[in-house]
Amino acid sequence: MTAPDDAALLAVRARVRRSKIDRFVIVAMTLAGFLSFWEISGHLTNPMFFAPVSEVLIAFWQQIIDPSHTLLSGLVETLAVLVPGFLIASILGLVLGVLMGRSNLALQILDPYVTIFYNTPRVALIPVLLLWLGVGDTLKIVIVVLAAVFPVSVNVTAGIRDISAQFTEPARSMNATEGQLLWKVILPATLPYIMAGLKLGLGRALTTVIVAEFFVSLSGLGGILHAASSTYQMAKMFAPAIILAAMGITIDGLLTYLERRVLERYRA
Amino acid sequence: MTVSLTVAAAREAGARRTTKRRNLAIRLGSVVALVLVWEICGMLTPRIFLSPFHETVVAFWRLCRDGTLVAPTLSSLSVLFAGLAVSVLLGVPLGLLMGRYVRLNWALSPYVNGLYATPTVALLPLLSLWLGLYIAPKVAIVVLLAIFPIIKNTYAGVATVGHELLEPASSMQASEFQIARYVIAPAIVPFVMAGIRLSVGRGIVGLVVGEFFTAQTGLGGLLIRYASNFRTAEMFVPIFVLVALGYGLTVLVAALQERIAPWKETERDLGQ
Amino acid sequence: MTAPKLSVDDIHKTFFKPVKNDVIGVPALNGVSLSVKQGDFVSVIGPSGCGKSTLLRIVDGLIQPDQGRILVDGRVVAGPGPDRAVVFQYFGLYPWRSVLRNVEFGLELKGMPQQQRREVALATIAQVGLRGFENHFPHELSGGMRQRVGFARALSLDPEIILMDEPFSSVDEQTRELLQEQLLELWRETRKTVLFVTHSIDEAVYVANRVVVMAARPGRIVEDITIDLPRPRTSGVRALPRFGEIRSHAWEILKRCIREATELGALP
Repeated sequence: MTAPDDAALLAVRARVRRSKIDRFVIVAMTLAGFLSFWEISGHLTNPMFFAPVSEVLIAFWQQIIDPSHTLLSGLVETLAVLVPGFLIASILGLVLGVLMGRSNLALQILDPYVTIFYNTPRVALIPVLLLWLGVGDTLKIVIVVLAAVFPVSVNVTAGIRDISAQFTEPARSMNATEGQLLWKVILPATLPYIMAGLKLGLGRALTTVIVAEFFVSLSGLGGILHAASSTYQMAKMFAPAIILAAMGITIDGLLTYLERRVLERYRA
Repeated sequence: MTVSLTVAAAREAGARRTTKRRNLAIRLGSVVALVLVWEICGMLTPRIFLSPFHETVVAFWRLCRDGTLVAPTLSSLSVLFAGLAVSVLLGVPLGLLMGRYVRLNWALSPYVNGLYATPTVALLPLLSLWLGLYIAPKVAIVVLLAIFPIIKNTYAGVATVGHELLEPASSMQASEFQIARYVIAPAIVPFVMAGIRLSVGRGIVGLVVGEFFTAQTGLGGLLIRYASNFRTAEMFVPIFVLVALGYGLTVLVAALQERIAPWKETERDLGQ
Repeated sequence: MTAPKLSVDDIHKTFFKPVKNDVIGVPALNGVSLSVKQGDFVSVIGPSGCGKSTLLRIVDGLIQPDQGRILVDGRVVAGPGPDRAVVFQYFGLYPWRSVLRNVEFGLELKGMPQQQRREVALATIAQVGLRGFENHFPHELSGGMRQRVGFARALSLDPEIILMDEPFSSVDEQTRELLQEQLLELWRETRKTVLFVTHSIDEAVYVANRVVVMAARPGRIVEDITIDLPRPRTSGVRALPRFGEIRSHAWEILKRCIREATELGALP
């Protein structure tokens, strides 16, 4: 029983290891292929339209070490709007979501608006807000809040409505107060939903802030991008785009990781 | 005994009906309240900030009658549908192949997931540089925003075709092709529809952004022209049309999904 | 001397589970052998994890054993074949196909022409008592009805051996008894060879003329009981003293196995 078993186990272990290596090789090769393609096609096309990856990386580096630090200040400007906006949106969204989840009156009053706003392309509101708030950070923070609030609140409401009596009944029968119920039972139970909502909201917020920055040239990474495009500086356009992409991917990755950790403890 | 039961049931049904009516009344009241606030604020502030609500209604009526709304709406719709069509035609096969061939999934998923997490609107200036200012960059940006939920949901559909669907077919000696055609293809339909439902909203965002920054056609172009000319009554009209469009399409796809795949399948809502 | 209908010859099977960063081997079946005559109705019972479902799948060819062979009529079989059909615990129906088309599915795969398929399917649907439900969909049917569709599908394939994997465990008690009687009636009519896996001792003793008891960790056969209860089996059979005797005998064996497994620290 043991001897053939060990051999089989070793074989399976070897197979698993090999497939991990295979995967690494494939990922590396696709990346190499993609970069080579970019490099070669960059050299073959009109420099006004496209730049090879080497030039992009060089321009990237130059922009980073540039003494006027335009790229860095752009990043800071974008973050300075995104972070506070998102924090406000999360708190607001949480409160809104809980309110709508627990009180039917609140739900009926607010639901028409939530539905409408959730279905509005928030970028469509930018011209309107520009009219009212003018160019400036207030505009951008408001639009970030508008973009992120509703995904969060909708998810929280859904989570609260979904939380079956399985969670609330035991607490109620132990005479929990409304506050205790909310804090100790409902919020922990809806945490997975909250995380999902946050992820959605942040993605939307990022897209919206970039578009807002398109409107206001040179402010934030989006602004830099837009300015560079109007002067046809190809290589310079890639840098903010890459940073924005990196930002999006990192944030998403971080939240996914958090979500998974939270979910681990919730496997029913 | 039975008599009192029917009475109780009827009473409960009646109570349910009153709650429904009550809810409807509250909702209506809430919306009416907003309209009133809008009307009053519009009267109190200068026209360049906000026009009263009734002027927006009048403007909407006028724009419908004299046809100014027609061309931009059609333009926006065609760009949206073109983009969604391309997204489906490219996205579904890609999701299928990635679900079927693990190595392909290994190779492509970093890029698919990466692009899905990227704010692809950042690529719009680049796209307009390459593709010009008319239809192409708009369709391209719609595709960039809409294709990823479709790929991810199709992939999820293939990946989660459970052994409960595959075992019976294997037991009846189905070939690989037969499994693909008779088991996998029908099983992923709800997932693909969910993906399309999600991509409608994202696609509209792409549409509007494209219409703002490339040649200002369509509803987005209309909106920005009104706003920059301080026509505060008219500018809400394209917004309302866009909202109706987005909501309407989403509901339509959901209804279609219900019609085609009425059984309760587990579907995951990935993304927004 | 003719070969037995079904011969399970010294089957070994180990599954490999990924655990943390490694892989561990879980022995499922260790030297299982069984011989079934044509027309026999054999029940297989055992605690969870004894490998009875795995055994069934190996017999059908859905899983390949590490060692050992399956023989039907003296021929080795290496995969699923027209001579065996399975009725699954989870029904295994396709939600997008009507009852009729679900029953036809196997024949469709074989390439049987439409007209012929239809005839065969309609006949078996009538046989299981679902006449009139041909155009219904699975989600419109009760659990018991769905299982009857599964059985009709298996019958349509006209296999020589019918394999049933806990077919009635997803169904309520009353429906269960009805289905058991229906199954026995169909068995009498068609004279197929049946291998019936269940975790209910009562059920196993009631339906079969042989009960095979398996133990877990490692999965092996510990006893082979011949059931000398009269046929046809009616509900009165359950009241016979002999029924109780056989039942307790089987239960004692099972208890012993479970106790041994607990002592080894390997209980589910």
